[in-house]
Amino acid sequence: MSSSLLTVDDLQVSYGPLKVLDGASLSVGANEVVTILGSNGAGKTTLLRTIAGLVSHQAGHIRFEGVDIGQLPAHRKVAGGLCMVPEGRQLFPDHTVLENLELGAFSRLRNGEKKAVETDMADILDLFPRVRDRLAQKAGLLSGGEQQMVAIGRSLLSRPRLLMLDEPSLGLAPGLIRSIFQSFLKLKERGIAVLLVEQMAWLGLGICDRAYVLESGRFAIQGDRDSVRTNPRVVEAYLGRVKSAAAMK
Amino acid sequence: MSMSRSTVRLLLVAGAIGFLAVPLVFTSSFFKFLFILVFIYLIVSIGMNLLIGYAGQFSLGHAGLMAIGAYVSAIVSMSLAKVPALVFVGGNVWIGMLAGIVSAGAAGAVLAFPALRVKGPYLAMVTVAFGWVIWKVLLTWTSVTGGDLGITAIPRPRVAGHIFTVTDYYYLSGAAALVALVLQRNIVLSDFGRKIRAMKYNEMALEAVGVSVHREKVAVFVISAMFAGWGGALFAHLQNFINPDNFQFFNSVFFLLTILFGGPGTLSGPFFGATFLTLVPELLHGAEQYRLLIFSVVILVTLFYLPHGIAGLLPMRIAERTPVKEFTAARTASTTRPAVGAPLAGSPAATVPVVKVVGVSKSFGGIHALEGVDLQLETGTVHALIGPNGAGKTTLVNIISGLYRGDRGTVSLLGKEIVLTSLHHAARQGIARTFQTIKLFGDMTVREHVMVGCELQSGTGLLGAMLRTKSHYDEERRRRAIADELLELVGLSDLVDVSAATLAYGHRRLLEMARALASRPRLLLLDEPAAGLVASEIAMLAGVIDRLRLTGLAVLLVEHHMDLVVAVSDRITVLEQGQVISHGEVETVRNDPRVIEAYLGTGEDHEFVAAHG
Repeated sequence: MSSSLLTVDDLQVSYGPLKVLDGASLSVGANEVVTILGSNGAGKTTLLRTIAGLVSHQAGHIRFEGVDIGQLPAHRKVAGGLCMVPEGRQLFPDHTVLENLELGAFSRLRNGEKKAVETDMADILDLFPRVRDRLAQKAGLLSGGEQQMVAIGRSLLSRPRLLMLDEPSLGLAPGLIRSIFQSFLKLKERGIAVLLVEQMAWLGLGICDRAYVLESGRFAIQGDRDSVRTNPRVVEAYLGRVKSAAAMK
Repeated sequence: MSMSRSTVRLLLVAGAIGFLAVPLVFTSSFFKFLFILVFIYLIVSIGMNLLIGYAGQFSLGHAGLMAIGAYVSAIVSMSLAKVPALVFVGGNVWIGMLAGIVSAGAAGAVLAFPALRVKGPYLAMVTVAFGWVIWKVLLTWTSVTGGDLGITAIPRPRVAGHIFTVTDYYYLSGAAALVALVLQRNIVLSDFGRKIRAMKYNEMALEAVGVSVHREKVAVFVISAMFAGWGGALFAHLQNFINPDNFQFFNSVFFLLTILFGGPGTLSGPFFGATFLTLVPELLHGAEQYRLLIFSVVILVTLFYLPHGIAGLLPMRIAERTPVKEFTAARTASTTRPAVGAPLAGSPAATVPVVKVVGVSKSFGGIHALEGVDLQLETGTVHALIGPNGAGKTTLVNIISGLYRGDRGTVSLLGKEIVLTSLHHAARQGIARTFQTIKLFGDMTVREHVMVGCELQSGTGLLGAMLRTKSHYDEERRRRAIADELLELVGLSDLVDVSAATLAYGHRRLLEMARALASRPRLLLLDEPAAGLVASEIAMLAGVIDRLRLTGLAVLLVEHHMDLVVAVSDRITVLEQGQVISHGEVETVRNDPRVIEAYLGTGEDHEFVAAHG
């Protein structure tokens, strides 16, 4: 992958004595959707937080568009086009939806890109028409799915080249999950790469180009979508459907 | 990074020798006085540490409580001085001290009961006012307190005719401080200690396992007040005279400072705080006018650079150690009851629904969250509650678990109508729950979380814990075994000693479930238990829910993972915009066109994926 947008090399992260990432390497190309799978505690969230600059790493390199950004603080990374939607959405509940969205464009508005931000805002509201009707409401009053849409919209307003999403399906009704995941495919059409952590593996594998499986701090399995989707270990651990005694009765 | 046991033993021996040698080395009574003050302040600080450091409550009125201990002890021992036989054995002073401690505790209860209904800055203001009122009363009630002149000629304690010298008093107060340290440890490392630590992190989650948080707050405040009264009593008989100036607002701030400086919520924090902050300003003797300045600089530096105080610098944070040694035999200890089995609160007759909800409505400022909802939850049955985000599912769970009260409609428990007044009330009726936004107790260990959950399964009480009775150990061992069993059930066996703060999202969900089960409920409300779990973990969760069903538990499952819902549910109720739009057997509901339209959407999820593949 010559036109790699994000390259992570041999990343090591520990919390005290606890080694969370132990030599994780991955790459995301421009226009690519990449999914990371892994069981709870494997280090997926830590990986995203490290790339975003919220957790410091002990060793390894993070390159974005060819530049080493390992030591940049989080807000500089956002300005540079690397943005993360955290798990659990984290909106400002007492601010209106519009205010929440505008916060995403903070550094751009400061640079006087008001016109461009307005165009993007219209774009985002086309992407999530449900949000349009709620602009004046307090974000805390939205349903979970709508909040997730606002959180993604907020990130898009910083005009990222790469959007990282941590469990966007968490706590959402099936119908909503579908429309949110469909929006990721539209992002790709707009030239935004997506790095996705998703527990509902079939969903994550459904829309990605390539996938990685994180196990005990490093990537145990990786490859294009179909090779990961048919990997017997992945099928057993992540794609199994729930069967139980009750289901047979 | 823990000190070896021999190092600890060496330090203890050195400390003991130092303690015994001080009066021989420092022959001047000034230094003995100073060390006695350290001991007295240490005792008061320990009370503050339990309240502020461990329970996360607040007080700036402890000087007032200390004053009550001092004045009551002085007045009682002087009144009893009219009884010669008592005086000869020194009984008047000992009784006086005891009366001082008890009175401070009683005053603490009177203060705490209303004050602890408020939080944070409000609580601080109430306690400041309390300290102020006590100070004013001491100044103006001259007939009893002597006004600004105070009380003089307070007797020294004596034993059989021998009056305590300063050296004797040094050993007496040193022993008292040692006892206070042991009591602190015994309280912190007990069932009560776990509860107050949990309270600091999440009151709602503690309520949900059946603990009345307000009661525990009052209890810890009273204990804290008794430590203050104890210090006050020792202070009065040391000085021989007391006056209101000894117990001003600044003294309350001083005790807060000892905790912040020494390390809040650590067993050794009060020791470091009281020692440093008593000795340092006294040794800067000529600099009396700079005392406040020094204190301010110390507090600023501490707050900036040492968030965990001096104790945080130690290689071994004593407070974070769980008493492993006490429990080595725990795994083999058998429990009298299996952890999962018939519910604690009696078994319902099979025909009566555990909980029946009829016509429940609830609005929030004009928005109808629920409108005329009926729901029947039966023993040994898994009942799923599904619906779009914002349909009112969590509101219904909150009503059944006592967190909200419905505007209309009734909730019946085992056929009897009941008004659930609070989470802990519902928990005591056998209704346990988990939370959609996970509520855990900070960095307490995984096992401790579940042990807190055992609240309703009995307990030996605080006295047993303070005195470390056999029944205390038996109870701890039993709880530990229950906790381990439940953690095995939910698949967290490998993480029992891990701080819950380091757990991954999905594991936190499983931990919440184990904690809820520890209260042995007859109805378990699970609010999105599978959110954040991977498929293999969801399959395990399904297995757990199946097992719970077999034990006769009623389960209400709020969930979006239709895989899980279909696999484990006996019945499904579908909510949309606060109303039941469908309910019944799984297959019926699943094929109900209204449900498909409102919630499931058309087409299987896998078809969606295939279409975009």
